[in-house]
Amino acid sequence: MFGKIFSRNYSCSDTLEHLQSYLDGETDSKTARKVAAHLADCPNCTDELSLYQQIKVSLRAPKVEVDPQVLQALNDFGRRVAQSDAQS
Amino acid sequence: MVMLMPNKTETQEAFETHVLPHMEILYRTAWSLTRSDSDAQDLVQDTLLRAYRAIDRFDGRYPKAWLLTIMRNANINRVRKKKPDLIDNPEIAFERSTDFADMEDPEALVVDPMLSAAVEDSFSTLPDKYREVIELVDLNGLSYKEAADAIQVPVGTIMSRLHRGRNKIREQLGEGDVAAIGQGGH
Ligand SMILES: [Zn+2]
Repeated sequence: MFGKIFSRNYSCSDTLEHLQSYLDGETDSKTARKVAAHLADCPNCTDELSLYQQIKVSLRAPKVEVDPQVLQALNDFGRRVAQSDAQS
Repeated sequence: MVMLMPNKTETQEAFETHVLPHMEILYRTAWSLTRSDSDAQDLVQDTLLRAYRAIDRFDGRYPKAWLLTIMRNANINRVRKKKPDLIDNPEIAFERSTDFADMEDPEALVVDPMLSAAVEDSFSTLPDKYREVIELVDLNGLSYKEAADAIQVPVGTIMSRLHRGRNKIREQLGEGDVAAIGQGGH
């Protein structure tokens, strides 16, 4: 998995170390180039990058409003599901 | 023989421990996926029933990620049944939009409906010092230097708090299918 086959410059662990700074645009250009070069060949690190991107964009997105009554109804349903076991 | 107290079974207890506390995330995620109150409720109920049937095989790690994987499968099933309006399905719309050309422009990235509620939830439970820095950088768009000036700490402190805080959120997303969805799933 975390092989070095494709990366003469940065290994996966080098890349992961700089991944968040890279995402934030806070690395120097040399580091950014090395990270980008590694990402181009490494699906694992690319997956990680997209998760951190999602963390960023999710936090910016507006929250879904939750109706407390709906939540209550779902909790009741959940408890009934849990109890179905005790009764069977 | 007389049963004095109806003891909770292990299954029941596991369900109460690992599933019921996450109801709000389940509902928020379901709503993001369906954009409808009634469909969201149906999807949560379906997810709960599936989780109940699967809980004996769950190892107790990353319950949110486990539940969201179940919800994702339940949703695929739901969409297949409903058809054919695939374009209106937020998850499919998301997968279509995922393109690394967008990398340079985070604003252009579409929120993954499977992850957003879980991210928000993990964020809200972080210790203040991490939340504060994530707020400055991710929500308010400050650079590390600007954030450092804002709360009068060294840039290195901003970086380590920010990265650690995000790592804590990342951990909650688990290793499984949900974590893979950012890449279009499988
Ligand atoms: Zn890698």
